[in-house]
Amino acid sequence: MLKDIRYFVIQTKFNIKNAYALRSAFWIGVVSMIVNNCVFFIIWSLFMKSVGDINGWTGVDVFGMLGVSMFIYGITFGFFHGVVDLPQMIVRGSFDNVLISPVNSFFKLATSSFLVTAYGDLLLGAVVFLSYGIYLQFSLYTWLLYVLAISFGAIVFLCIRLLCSLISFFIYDGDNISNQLFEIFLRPGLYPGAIFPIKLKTFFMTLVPALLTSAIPVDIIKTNSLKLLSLSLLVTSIWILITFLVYKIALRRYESGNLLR
Amino acid sequence: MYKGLYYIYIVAKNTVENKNKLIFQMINHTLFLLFSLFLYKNVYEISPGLKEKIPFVNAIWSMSIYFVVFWLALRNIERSFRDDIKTGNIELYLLRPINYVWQKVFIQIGQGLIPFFVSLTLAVIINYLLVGMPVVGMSYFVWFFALLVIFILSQILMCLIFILCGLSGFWLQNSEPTYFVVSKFIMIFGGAWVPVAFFPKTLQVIAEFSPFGASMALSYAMYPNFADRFWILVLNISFWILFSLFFVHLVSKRAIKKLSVNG
Repeated sequence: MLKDIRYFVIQTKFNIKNAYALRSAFWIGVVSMIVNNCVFFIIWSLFMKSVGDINGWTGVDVFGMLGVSMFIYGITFGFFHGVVDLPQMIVRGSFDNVLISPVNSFFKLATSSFLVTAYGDLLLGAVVFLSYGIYLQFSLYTWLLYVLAISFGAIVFLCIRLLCSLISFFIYDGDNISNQLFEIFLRPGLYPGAIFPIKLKTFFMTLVPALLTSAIPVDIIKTNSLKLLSLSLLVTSIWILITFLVYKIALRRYESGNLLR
Repeated sequence: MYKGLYYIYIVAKNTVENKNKLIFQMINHTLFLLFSLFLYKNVYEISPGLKEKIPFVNAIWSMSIYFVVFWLALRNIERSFRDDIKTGNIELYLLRPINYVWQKVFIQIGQGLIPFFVSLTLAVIINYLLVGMPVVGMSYFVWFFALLVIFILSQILMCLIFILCGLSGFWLQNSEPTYFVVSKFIMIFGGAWVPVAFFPKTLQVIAEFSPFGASMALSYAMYPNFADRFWILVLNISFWILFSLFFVHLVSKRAIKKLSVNG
């Protein structure tokens, strides 16, 4: 396991170095994503100005939620982007390269490609969610809850992204389908958590756990709720288990493309 | 004209070959319509004052129609330009007897046509059944034709805007940043997630008269004051079409001069 993690760290460093070789393209990509993301702040600040505080959520909380969401998105696509390319690998038959590697297939897959713009999400997300904590003067305990909740969100996000990609093992040419499924998961997480009625919120926390990656971490620190954090942990564990099982089954279905290079 | 229609027909036919893709796109569309409907129903219950800005039914129709137009995906023209420039495939298209820009427009229309019509049908059925027809201040028969005019004009403008974004790739090497900025302005001023009627008055005017809002004027056609605004919208879109057309002509000429094919 340690060997696999070391491989993951080295490969990620290599990917970043590689992308940074084209320095101007790297920074244009990062900055353009930051500008792109600012739109969500504008949209929801206009919304909150128009609607006013909802269920105890202010504009600042919505900003915090967007920060969390962007940070989690940045982590997944900045360090595990290979997962997104899995459907194309299956279609091309290039997944063989991943399977015959002496390291863990998941880590090999995750680091097999790289998305520069994700670092825009990561940077902006980190700045916003840290500023949110500083602005609200979190105690050490609250910071701990916040970081744990965000970690659970990031794990769930990665699981769902991987599960969407694994569809390609079962459906021919599943690239587009995988993206469509992921969009269904992604969208609810970009709406302020406060506007969800309770039933819809529960649905989007468990069956389609989109809110775990955005609104729930903010809800946890707003209510200081250990109960909600435990529920997040439970849901995360279930999704890890599902992903693990589906990944194992999916790998067995793979037929070599005979495209070894 | 015939060549163009035939081109669109062939691409549309090819697109529908992958039925799974279309089915999942429409599942995504339906779920999103239902999701935004229930979410905004809750928002209107929490803040009843919003009815004065725009009635709930109109807000839902306005957002739905944005996402229906989204499936036509004319914004992908930029990505198509970008891919051709990066891969060098542009020379393949330049060798064909139809103008490069037109080919890209036809391909995009062909690819988006079927998802557009299916999503439109779904949106009309779902909205009609769940919230009813929007209040538009004119007979629905006239409204339908007014919508058609606005739709055609706004989509011409949308095409031109994204052609300009794509052409910027001849100078920037990667036109993606331009695309990001333009598409997000269209998202805000087109009322994608939050209806423009929720914005402050000044911003509403800026949104409506900007090229970004004009290219998504169809969502404004769902507002209660559409009857009074129709001619203003038509004039505004027409102005931006002429303006963009001039730039597309100018920029595409220079872009072709700048082109160097590796062979």
